[in-house]
Amino acid sequence: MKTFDYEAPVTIDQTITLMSKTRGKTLLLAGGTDLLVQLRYSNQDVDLVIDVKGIPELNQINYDEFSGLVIGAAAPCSQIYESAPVLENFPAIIDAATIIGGKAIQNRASFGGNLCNASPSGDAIGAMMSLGAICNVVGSEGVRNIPIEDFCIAPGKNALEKGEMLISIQIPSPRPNSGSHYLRFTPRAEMDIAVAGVGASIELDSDLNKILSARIALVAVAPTPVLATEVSESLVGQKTSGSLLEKAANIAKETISPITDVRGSASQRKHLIGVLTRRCLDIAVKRAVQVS
Amino acid sequence: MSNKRVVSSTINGQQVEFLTEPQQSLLECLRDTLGLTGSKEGCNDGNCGACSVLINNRLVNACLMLGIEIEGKDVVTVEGLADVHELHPVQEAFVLEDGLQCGYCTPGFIVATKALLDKNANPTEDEIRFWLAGNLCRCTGYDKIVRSVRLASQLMNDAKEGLQ
Amino acid sequence: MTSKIGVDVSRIDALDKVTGKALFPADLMSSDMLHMKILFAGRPHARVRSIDVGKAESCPGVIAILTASDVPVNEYGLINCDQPVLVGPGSNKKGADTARFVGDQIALVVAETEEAAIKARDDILVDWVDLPVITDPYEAMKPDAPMLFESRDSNIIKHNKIRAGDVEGAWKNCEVIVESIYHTPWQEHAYLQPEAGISYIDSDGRITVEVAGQWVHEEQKQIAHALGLTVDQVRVIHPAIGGAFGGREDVSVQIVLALASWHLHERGISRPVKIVWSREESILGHHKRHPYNIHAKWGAASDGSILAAEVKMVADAGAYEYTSAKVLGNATLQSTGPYDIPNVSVDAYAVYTNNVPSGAFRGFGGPQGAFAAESQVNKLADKLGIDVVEMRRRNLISDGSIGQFKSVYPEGVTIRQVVEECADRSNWPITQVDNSLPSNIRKGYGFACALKNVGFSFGFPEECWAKVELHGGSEIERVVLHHAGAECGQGAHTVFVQMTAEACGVPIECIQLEAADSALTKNSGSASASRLTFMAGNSIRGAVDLALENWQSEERPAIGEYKFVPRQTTALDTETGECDPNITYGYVAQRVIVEVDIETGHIRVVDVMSVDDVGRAINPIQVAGQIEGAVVQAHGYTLLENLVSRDGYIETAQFSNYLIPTSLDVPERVEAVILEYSDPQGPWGLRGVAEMPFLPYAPALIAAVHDATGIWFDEFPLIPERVLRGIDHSVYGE
Repeated sequence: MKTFDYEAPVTIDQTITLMSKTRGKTLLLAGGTDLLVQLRYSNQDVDLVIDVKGIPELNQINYDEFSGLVIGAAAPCSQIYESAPVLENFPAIIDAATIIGGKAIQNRASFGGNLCNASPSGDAIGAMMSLGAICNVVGSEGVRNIPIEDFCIAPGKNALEKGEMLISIQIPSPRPNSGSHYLRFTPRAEMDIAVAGVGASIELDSDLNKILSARIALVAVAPTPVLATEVSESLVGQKTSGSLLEKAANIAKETISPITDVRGSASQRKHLIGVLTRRCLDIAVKRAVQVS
Repeated sequence: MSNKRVVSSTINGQQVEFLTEPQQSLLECLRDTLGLTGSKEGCNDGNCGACSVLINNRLVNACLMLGIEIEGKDVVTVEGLADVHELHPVQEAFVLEDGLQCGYCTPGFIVATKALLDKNANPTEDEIRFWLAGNLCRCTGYDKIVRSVRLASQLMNDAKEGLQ
Repeated sequence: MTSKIGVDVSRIDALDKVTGKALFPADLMSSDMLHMKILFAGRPHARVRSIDVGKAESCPGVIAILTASDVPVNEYGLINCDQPVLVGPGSNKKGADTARFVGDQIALVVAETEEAAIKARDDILVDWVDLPVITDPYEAMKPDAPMLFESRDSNIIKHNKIRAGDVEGAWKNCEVIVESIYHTPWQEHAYLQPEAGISYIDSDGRITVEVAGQWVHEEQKQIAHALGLTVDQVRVIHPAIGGAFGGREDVSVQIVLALASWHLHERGISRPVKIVWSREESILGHHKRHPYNIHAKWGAASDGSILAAEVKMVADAGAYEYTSAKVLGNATLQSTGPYDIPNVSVDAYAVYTNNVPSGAFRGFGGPQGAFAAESQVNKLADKLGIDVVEMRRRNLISDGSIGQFKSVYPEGVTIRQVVEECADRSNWPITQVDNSLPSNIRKGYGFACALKNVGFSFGFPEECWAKVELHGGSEIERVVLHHAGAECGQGAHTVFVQMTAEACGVPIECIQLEAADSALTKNSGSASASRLTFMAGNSIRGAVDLALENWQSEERPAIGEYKFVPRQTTALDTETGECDPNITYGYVAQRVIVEVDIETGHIRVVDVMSVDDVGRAINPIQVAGQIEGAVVQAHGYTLLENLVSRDGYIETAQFSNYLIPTSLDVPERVEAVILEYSDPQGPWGLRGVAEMPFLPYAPALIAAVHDATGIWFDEFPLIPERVLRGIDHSVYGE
């Protein structure tokens, strides 16, 4: 790894100032599980690495019914899945937080880092997208709220402007009779990267048989994790049934045109999205029924 | 290379100050600067767990941290588990159940096991396998390691009862 | 006096390994050491016109840069010295200016720090001329193919032939014939410790290399050859070795470390040189298990007797020979399995290509041959409607069988006992149906068996040395064993100590081991071919017997030095294959249960039973560890490990994309059953264990997948995508 300067500010303001006054390339360090590997392999020139783990706002996990869940951008997976309100209300978030890396990685890797890294296969992104997350961003120009589906713009590229930083991710409180799930497929049980993944959240009516709203995110089948609105539309207003989910799965397959790479072929990914969408929706619906 | 910084932390119970350049990983600092070669490099990208250490009682990969990040933190490596007279129960269990062959992955497994048992004194086999999935072993096939963890759990529980 | 063998003695290195005190090569530090990095070719086939090290030499901290012209005898190899130590112009070796795979070594940079060495390495300018890249062994075999070596008129390294009986005449008597083309993949050893070492001049003036290997005296010999020195001028020491599995049988950093130290010494610099390979360098830089294409045509009579087997196979040897010719011999033997087949014809080829070299890996050609042979037997049984165990009963060898090499199998053939034990314990044939499974899950059962040679084969010289010192007055108080055998993690040193204690009749605590230093020991052969416990045990017994004689005649300390030389094997006859191939064998049978998710192609192995005749288990817990470990390595080989190489470039050179099993990916249950039918030649009757549990796993698992899905897979790894393609092309959307 090439040499760089290192700062560990304790406020957002200090961080913004550091970013604005550094001429060269600046990178923000949270868990470092992606960043340090990238720096090591790419051997790129970096002038300043700013460790943001000392900033209280970036480590918080807060929940109340009105503002929903706020996950600090640097909060590691283990802090997320050990949080009682997350365990109680956001099963898809728990699903994603417990499958990223192994235990050692989960003690470092953050959802904010996963999001900023903007990998097409970001499990946390898929889970958060299905739950309608908003990204809270601060820069020298002020505050921006970016819907998560607009945050990743290309593999490894996010919507942050120079001098901006992600502070937290906000996820609305679950509606009554709702359930969520994140499901991926990997050749290895853990410690692997998704060949394909699906995040889903479903809201049922009070009789628990009709779908009122749905959000489905597809992972590792496009340059970024994507929202599958056609799939959601096919579900809304319909009665839950095996054939409905099967139909939604087929629509999901048709909406994507994935690539072939070392982890899987395009046709494998297409096929898997069908299987995963059906299985994921099935569990999300079951969870919605259980919750109520 | 004028970029060196002083880092103060507690390593294996001892207050330590050392010099590091910001880009040096914690693993490099432990091995090359501090001579603690028990933590191993197997992949240098967080995929093998041979460099597992505890930071403030949390399991991490030392290759995925900068040395400079442990300022003010408490670090435990495999060298810090046994005291002068006796092995830590996890180490004892790995010896008794033959939970090692070549031994290169062993420090990482032992540190990861300590982290598990500190959190969950009676893990099930599934919990053990899930917890250890970040540590690769190419020799044993893992069964002897899982048996070692179960024995370690028993030894630690026995020791606790003995104290009461 | 309680026995010291047949008991679960704790490993003698366990304390050091659980406390982090054990020193592996990368842990060896010295305050004044220098660091070395290697410039690799990075291209699969290209000639080096020139190397410009000017800019690199002026980098701060650089001490030396060495290229081909600095190597006294620029060639090495375990069997055939066909590989340049450093590729480039200016050396005495013809053709040494050509890189033949991406991992060929071009230049060595020695510097004050690793960072300085990396910086300088990246500043070396190489003027390359790319040459045609040939990665398909069938293309490479064609007479008009470009030659990898100008001095050769064929890329075929070795052609083995077996001609026994009359295959052509036998087909007409066959009720069924099964013809298949099998393809087996590369496999990366993925030992957790990447290559590393340190070199220096010792107090006796010897170039000394401390490194992880499998055979100190062979490494010493190869270093001496390349440096134009006598072996006495070179010393090799093995510190703790972080796994090997055959992957350290050929040298990696040994010669270049010695070369650097020798060069510095001549310049009057006496500082140790250290090198540590990254995981990527390790995966690119050392050999792999050979991929094989095996075309098998077998026929059987209606009663199940196998009448004829015709096999044609081609192994991709990659860029240099390594142990390819020897691996081919074993694959040749294994390709017709432990069966008595009257008519056999085998043609086996090992062929140079511009891929990463192939070489030794646990099983040594056995897993490839056994996959084809066992699959053929399972398919014939399926076609004839005969149970697979019954099919084996009708064809397996037994004591007195002669076999395709026209020589009697060594006494102690126990494959029948092993197969029966495995069938009994697993209640074979399995008839119950599991109705509790979800609709997407299919369950299946598979069976396979194998034999594995113990010791070097086909005439390769085999010997093993030991020296024992008995210290004390009226009683033996202390025993020193000198032995060169490598402790790679398999537990060799612990069983050496146990066997010495048993032979001397003293407690284990009395034994002191002086091991793995070429300066203190003589040749023990390698830690490979499932041979070390067998050979070392015989050498230890011989040395102890001599020492005890001297003890009786009041010699103090009483010394016994002994070189064990087993029965001589012979090479294949070039036309018929007639020979006496092996000293002896171990025997194994396995039953595997799988559950296949037909929607995702994911295979879960629910249960494995591995029944292994090891002759005598000196340390049963370690024998069980060998079985469990071999099964899991074979599990990775069969299901998960997918080395991707495109046009000679390896695309999976990290642990993030070359996936080996974690604790969650292994079979849910592995039952290791140890049988102990004495081998007449083995010390205390023991055979060997390290490799044999690897051999039947792929065919047993694939038979189970067939049982579950009705599909025969002739190619693996059974990554989910391959399984899906096999199950249903239409569902899969092709």
